[in-house]
Amino acid sequence: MEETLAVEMRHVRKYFASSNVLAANDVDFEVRQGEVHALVGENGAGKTTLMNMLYGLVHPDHAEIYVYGEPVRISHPDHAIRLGIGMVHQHFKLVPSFTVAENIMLGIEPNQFGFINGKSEAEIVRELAQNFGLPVDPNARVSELSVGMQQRVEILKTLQRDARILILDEPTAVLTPQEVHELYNVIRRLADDGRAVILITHKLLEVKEVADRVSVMRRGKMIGTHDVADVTIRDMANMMVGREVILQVEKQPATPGDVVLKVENLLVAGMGGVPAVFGVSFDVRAGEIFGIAGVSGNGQTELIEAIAGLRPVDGGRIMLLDHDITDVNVRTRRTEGMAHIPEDRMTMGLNLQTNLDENVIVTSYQKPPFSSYGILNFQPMRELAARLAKKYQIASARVGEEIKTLSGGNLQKVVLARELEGEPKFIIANQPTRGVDVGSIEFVHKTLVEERDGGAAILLVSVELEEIMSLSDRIAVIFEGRIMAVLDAADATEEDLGILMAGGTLDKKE
Amino acid sequence: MLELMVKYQDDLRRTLLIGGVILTILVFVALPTNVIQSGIRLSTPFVLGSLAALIASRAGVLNLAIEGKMLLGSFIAVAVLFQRDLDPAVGVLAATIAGGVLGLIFAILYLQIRVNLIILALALNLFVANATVFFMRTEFGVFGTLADPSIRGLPTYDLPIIKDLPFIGELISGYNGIVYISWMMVVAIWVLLRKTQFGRHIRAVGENKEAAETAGINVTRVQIFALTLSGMLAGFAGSFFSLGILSQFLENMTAGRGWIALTISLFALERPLPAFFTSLFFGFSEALSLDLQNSETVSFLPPDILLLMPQVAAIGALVLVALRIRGSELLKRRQFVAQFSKELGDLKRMVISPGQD
Repeated sequence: MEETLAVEMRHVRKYFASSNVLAANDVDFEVRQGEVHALVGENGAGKTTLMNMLYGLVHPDHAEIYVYGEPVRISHPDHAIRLGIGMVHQHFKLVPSFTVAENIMLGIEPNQFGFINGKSEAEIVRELAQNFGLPVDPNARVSELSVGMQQRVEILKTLQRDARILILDEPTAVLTPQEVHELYNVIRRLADDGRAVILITHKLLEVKEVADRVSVMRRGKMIGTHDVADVTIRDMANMMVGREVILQVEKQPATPGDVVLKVENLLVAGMGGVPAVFGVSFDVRAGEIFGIAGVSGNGQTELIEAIAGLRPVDGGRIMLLDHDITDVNVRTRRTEGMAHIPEDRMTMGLNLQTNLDENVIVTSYQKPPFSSYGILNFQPMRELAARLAKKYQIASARVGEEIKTLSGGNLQKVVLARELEGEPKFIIANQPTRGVDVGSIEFVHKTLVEERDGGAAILLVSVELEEIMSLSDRIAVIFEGRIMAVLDAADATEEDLGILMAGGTLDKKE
Repeated sequence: MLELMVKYQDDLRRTLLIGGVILTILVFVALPTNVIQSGIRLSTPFVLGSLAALIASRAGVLNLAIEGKMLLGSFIAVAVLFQRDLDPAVGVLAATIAGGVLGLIFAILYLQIRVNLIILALALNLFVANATVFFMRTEFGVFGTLADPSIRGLPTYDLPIIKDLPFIGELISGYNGIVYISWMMVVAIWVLLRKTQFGRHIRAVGENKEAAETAGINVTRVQIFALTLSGMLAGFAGSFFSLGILSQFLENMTAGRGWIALTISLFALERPLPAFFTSLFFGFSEALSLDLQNSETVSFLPPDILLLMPQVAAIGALVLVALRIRGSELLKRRQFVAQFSKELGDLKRMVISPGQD
């Protein structure tokens, strides 16, 4: 006799019109009772969206969902809770000034004529904590608890509502190693109890350690489901990152010059007071492309923001051409020769509400000839816009016209044109080809190599391994905010990088 | 400055508290009885108004329309009594209901139709200010002042036993009903927020809307209730101007006191008891400056400046609150740096990281 599945999702489809993303493309997903099921994929692969649909926070365009064999249509978290589904979100949903008991019992307070019975509330929580072996102080204020304890409160919150299916969204992202270990034990116990635990994560070691089965998602598609015992970390990494068309980039060997950027022992805080960048050191020389490889969400964003001046640095220092720029503002960094092609061109790279002219001068509007005595001169702006549109082959971009109708590739070219104008000495290129058509990818790559040959130092961050391998001269691998190794691009193999990206080391040859 | 505040946070709090107590004692000893009595009277709309503001803030909506709701209350209270020979309590009740209805309309426009909060509040305030003038002219044919012998003010009551107490008796007895009810409301709102299920839901919604939502609380409904209650309190407060102090309605009678009530609520960190004491402070300041304006003796300060003092104090207090928040953020960052720099240092000493150049 076959056991009924705890969760079965069939043909799930979800399209976000606002961001033009197909977050779920005909996805099938199933979870058995009593198993720990890992759902892995990179940031933006659609894992969280899929689970939010199961929890009623996001409504699918199309889906067949069965919970314990019953077809359901979940419209609201309230409904999901009644079906026995509980979710612990990545960002905890707790009220900081409330006590542990008040948070756990929120919405289901024991009361008489609307007056809350505080004593029995604390008693219920104490009993609950004891039953599940998750000790907490019911009267402690949540704002004074450690992140690990807050997570425990969240788990108890779902258990008090009698959750049989538990969704944990990136539960270890904010935990210390000891807390992680403790959490694994809790997860294991809950599954042994017959509950289904769904673990959303992009950390593959974690999957190996605690999960029974694993489902891999990539760009809104379900790639496959396997028994964890049957797959290696490398297999999973390959499924996660995928194999795209390998783009050949023609380039001569690099001729590195002097050190342009030097990062020493950098420490940057991430979410929940856990370091996002922990003791990172490297340098980038003139005339080379220094690539940072890694599964997204391992501190790349924080590292780049710290170097670009968008995030405060908590330790270590950043030197640009022998000047300490650790605490220097963005404009000074730019006048000293830094250019930044940001991760998200829609919100950080460009102003989509305005025209081409304004977008190409936002980094230089205060300088002549674009302004004199604080008044903008439109003629030079237009001339620059026209010249750049031609030079960078920005199809369909017209001087003085709004840019929001341009395609992703053309938008990226606008960013590139602006940033590379004025011969920067140091260029940050963060995911420079994300969401860009193949033709534009080639153009972006070619342009970056030209800049390198012109003597610029380039820091490239990408989660596409092929892009890193084909463009970089040296490759650093980042994992959980640390640089695992720096390799010469000539010596680096995809296998080695894969191991390092998953948190392994190259010391012990197996 | 920030660093000092972080370091001496507890001392600062204690100093403020002791300062407040000393100030209160000084006020009671130094001021003549009639000024204290008028101060308590004048603080009443602040007490009720700040409660109205804090109940909305606690539910996560900054109620910038308190002023308008108060003004509507004072107008309705008088308009209902006009040439009808009714008990003034009817006017107070009507004002409370009118405030509640306006609060409900405000809530629906903001929460259901999603009108911009600030624009909506400003529009509402302007609308009430102009509508009262309009109706005074068209319905009652008067300009500036709406008065009639049929409109009687609220009677005052002496509290049994308490009124015979030496010294204190004459200070806390002999007011009209709204004053006493405002004191009860302070306790009632405190109980509501602290001890009831509905109050806890209000606090949860205001502090972390998503937490409340995922716990299955209907956020919109809670906010609509809170805004309606807030409107009722504001309307009730408004009736005090027209029936509690005078027995007539004047154009723009509230004269910005709704805004002060909002400031009081912010300064009191949206807690009922501190809001009550802050309201007393504002009431006393107003009474004192009125007294100085009327007195023959020349004071060492021009009374206009005294009138300004509470507002200056409010701005200063808000700056302190903001600095305190920034201070605690700074402290958190410090702790992070201290903890992880050390860990990082230990790590560096222990191992030489592989592959790095």
